[in-house]
Amino acid sequence: MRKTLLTLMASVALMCSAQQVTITSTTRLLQDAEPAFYPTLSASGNKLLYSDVDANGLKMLDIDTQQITTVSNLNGAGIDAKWSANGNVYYITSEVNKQDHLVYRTGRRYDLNRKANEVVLEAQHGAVHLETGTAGMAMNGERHTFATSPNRGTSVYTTGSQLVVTVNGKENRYTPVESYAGYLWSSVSPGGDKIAFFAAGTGIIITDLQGKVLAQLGNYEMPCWYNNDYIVAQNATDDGYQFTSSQILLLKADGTFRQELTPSTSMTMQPTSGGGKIVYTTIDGNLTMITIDINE
Amino acid sequence: MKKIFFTIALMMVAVAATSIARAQYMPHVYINPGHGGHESDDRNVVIYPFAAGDTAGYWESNSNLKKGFALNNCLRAKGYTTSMSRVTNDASSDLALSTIVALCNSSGADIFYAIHSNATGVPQRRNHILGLYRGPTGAPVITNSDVLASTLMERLQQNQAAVWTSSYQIAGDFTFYPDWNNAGLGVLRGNHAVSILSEGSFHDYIPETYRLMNDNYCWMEGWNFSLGADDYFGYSFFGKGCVAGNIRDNRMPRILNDFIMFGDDNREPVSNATVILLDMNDTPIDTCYTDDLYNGIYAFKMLDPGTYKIRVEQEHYFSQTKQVTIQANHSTYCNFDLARLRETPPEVINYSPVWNEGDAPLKANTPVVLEFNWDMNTEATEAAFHIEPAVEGDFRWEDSNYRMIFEPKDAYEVNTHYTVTLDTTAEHGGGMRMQEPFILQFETTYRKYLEVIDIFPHQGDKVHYKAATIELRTDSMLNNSYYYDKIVLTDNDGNALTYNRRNTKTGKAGDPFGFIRIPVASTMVPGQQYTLTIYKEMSDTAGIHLPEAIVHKFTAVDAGEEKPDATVIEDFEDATKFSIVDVSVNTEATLSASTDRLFGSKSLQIKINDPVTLATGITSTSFNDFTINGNDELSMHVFGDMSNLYLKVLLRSTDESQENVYIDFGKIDFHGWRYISGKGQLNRDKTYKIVKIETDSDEDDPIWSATIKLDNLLKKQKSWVLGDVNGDGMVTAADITELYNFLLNNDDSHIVNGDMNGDGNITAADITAVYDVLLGSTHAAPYITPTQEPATKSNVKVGPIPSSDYIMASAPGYIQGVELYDMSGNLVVRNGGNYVNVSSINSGNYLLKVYFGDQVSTHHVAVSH
Repeated sequence: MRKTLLTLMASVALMCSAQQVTITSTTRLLQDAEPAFYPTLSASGNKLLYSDVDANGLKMLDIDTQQITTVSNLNGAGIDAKWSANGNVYYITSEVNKQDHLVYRTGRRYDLNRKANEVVLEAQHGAVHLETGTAGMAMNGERHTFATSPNRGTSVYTTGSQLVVTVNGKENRYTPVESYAGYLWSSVSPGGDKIAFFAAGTGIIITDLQGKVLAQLGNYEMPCWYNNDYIVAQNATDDGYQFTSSQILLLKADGTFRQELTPSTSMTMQPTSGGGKIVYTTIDGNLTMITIDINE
Repeated sequence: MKKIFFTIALMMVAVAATSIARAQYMPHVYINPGHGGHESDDRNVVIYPFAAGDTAGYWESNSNLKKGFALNNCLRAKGYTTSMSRVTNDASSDLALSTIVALCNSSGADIFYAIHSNATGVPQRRNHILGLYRGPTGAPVITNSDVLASTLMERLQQNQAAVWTSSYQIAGDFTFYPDWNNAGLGVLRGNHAVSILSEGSFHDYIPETYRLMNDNYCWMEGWNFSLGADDYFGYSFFGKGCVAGNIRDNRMPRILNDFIMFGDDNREPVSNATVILLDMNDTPIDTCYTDDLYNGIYAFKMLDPGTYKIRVEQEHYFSQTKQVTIQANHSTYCNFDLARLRETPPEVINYSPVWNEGDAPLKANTPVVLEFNWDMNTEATEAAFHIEPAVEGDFRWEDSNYRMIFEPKDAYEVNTHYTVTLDTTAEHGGGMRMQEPFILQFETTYRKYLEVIDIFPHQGDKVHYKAATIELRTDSMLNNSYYYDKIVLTDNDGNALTYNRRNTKTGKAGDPFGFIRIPVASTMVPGQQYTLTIYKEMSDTAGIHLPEAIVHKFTAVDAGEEKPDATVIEDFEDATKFSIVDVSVNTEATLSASTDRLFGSKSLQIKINDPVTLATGITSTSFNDFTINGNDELSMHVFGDMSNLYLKVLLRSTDESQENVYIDFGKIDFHGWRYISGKGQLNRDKTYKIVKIETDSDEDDPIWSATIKLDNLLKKQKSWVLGDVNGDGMVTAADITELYNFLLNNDDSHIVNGDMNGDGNITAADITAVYDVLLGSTHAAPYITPTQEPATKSNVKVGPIPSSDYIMASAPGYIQGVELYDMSGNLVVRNGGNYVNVSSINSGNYLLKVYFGDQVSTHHVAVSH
């Protein structure tokens, strides 16, 4: 009933809304380079991490100078690479052990100033979750963990069907909505007061820092914050084997507005946002950067 | 290749944690029981007794989920950590591909199993196992995924309750889908567990479909998955085993048999059997039952290793007991073939035809049907069957060998008395023979085959491309059922054109002949060749069929474009100018304007009802306004209705002789618009006026009504070209035909223009054929017999049209790739998967070829920026 009411409210609000969104610029990135996937913009929007179609290896594009830097050639580096608040890159790589056939995951940091890679979390079996905070980073493994500092400001990550929120060193675990398969793609809003995440079977959820559901935005994937009020997300369909449509949406975090930024036939996917820019790729790895104007 | 994979697997297993008890860390297995939700990306196979869409019937999502649950339970019993992408089967649990991959990566899984079953997507059927990993075959993107696939496939292949048409196949998805441009399967793309997708069997192979409805069968596949994981990690500590099998009748064919079957699947599965597991002292340990869904599957799970007995009981069969040995970490299969209880000798309890001396003779294709009280030994019974006079024929068995049908290969002889005898060597499935022979007799009528009176289009016709109509006329009323698959119109690529079925007309009792007249819904392309095929099986209401298939090739034209450089002397725009000047007794004729025209806004429609002798004259106040010179030729655009009317124009010379000359526009033996050049001999030194347009009919050619239309009557000064036999101003192959027809004094419209010897080509050999005629020999029949049914367009959809970025294709199965061609046939772009990126392709019309299963379909698409 709660879901029905929220959906109804969102629908009514959507009809009443009068926002207009205009795409003010469109720029094709890496036009002559190899296909690029898993793009991740820095907070300032002037640097972009990307990987190959299998998330193997990690590269960095300086959008202003168009200079490309290879961050890593290791397996899985592109799956969940993240920028820390101080501008370094944290990522996890994985490797199948030849002896026991288990997969071991290693936490790594790329220091932009020193242009150097270092292992920050030794290889271990099981899941390792990256936790991005407003004042630091952590890597939470099943056996070992790493943190840049005890107080990482406000941070969030998901494990199974739990939203793990840490505010000033105090960790709380929430299950705001039921989801057998689990949660993904969590992030704190730029203003530090809201959390966006994806619950399998339900879609994108917005909560406050205490796990209270503020809005359900629909069954879309890969939410990322455009600004403190808007989310960019992927809306894709498939036939069980291949994608059949995919587009980028702009969603208002209170659930009152939705705008297609690309058509469903565009096969655009994996959106990221930072510094007022939005970058997405296509099914065949064409990176595009757009800027938008929201007229409220 | 299979051996190599397995050897590699075994070597790696040996190197791995040797002869393992439990490892330091137990593996984490991510289980993805396929796509679900009973939605468009799910696969529903309709099997009796379930209706299409019934979620209790077969859906791939149902069986995948059952396997997933079984695997999850087995792995947890062994101490593994597991995750599942879904535990329900509704829309909300039907997760997107990228979500499933991200969930697996986030879970920390070591291996990923995507559990699926397969379908051919084409009428052919097969049943085998397929394991796919990401990357090219032999070079997996994810380390060890080929090894994981080989350990699993070996375990799944051991399932002897199934009928496999071939051994398992392992491949990289880049290689398996070569036209996907290395896009690969969505659930393996970006997945960093050791990942495979298993197609455990073919769910559109119907005996397998029924097996997949059985919970125990799905459970066994889940158990075998867990054994595959054990093999991969080198574990052998779990001390349990399982036994399963299939219980079938030892000889009786399947009762439900309207589908393709292989091997033992041809025999009836035994439903509702009681299966008892006994120890070696015959003490019952466990009991299970086969269900009533036509699969005969049973299983006993999680047994201690040792020797057991299994006894099967069913009220209509002799009981049977077998001994089995159960091994730890192993699946044992034990199938049963049960013998039916048959206690009395066989006899014929029903038969047809029932015919007695003095009864009306029977049609020449009447089958002989014998029904028995038991399922029969088909070989012995066919050997016991005799028919006099001898007729070559085929036996068919129905109702699980309770009913035998003998059909003549072609037809019985006409006006003949036949005697059928089944002697006492006929026996039932239990080996008991008939006690008395069985005899029946009948006589046949005078008629063997359906006779064709006419077909439109004729061989080599030119047919107006829009609103075409095809027609078959026969000497008796056609069977009104199922004729659309026996009269097929195809384009040059073999794609079937669609019909306007609602407006199809058929003959009825009282009509002078049988016919089917079908409007073609598809618009043809002028200049393209088309083929009308009427299959031998086209039959009348008595089931009498054609002696052989008929194939007519014809060319689509724009009749409005087929006008020479001529002057329009009458446009037929104003119907009020025309009047009927004479009409036969008992003939009603009316004139009216019709909007169905080729030029301007109207044509003149001539409608003639209830005729006895159809002779109608039409004149016009405008006929005096123009003059025809003796050196002129007339032509006209005529909309025909295949009424077989003759159309003529009467001219009269303006000199004192007032000579009457008919210009002949031929027989209206066609449908639709046609441009016709008139034929007639004018005196070059005279001028003429049109007196009237006449229609007439042949007394031997029955007509009961006619509606024809006229548009643009033209005149043109004749041009004389050496060799232009038909006077169309050009020397072409048509002139050879014209000469040939002139020599034979006939109008053989079945001959493709110029193709005198009927070999489908126009060569010097055709001139030789004319030469043969001059010498008195005969030419070969210009017909071509089809060797196979033309391919039809698959149910592939493409869109959007027009598109500015991507054009997608969808089909009920794998799409291997698409190719975009320009209208000149040049390949513009080829792409893997089911899409093509057109964002940098010029606006315009294109053709998209979609490769789906064993089919290729072509679609008109457009790009617009």
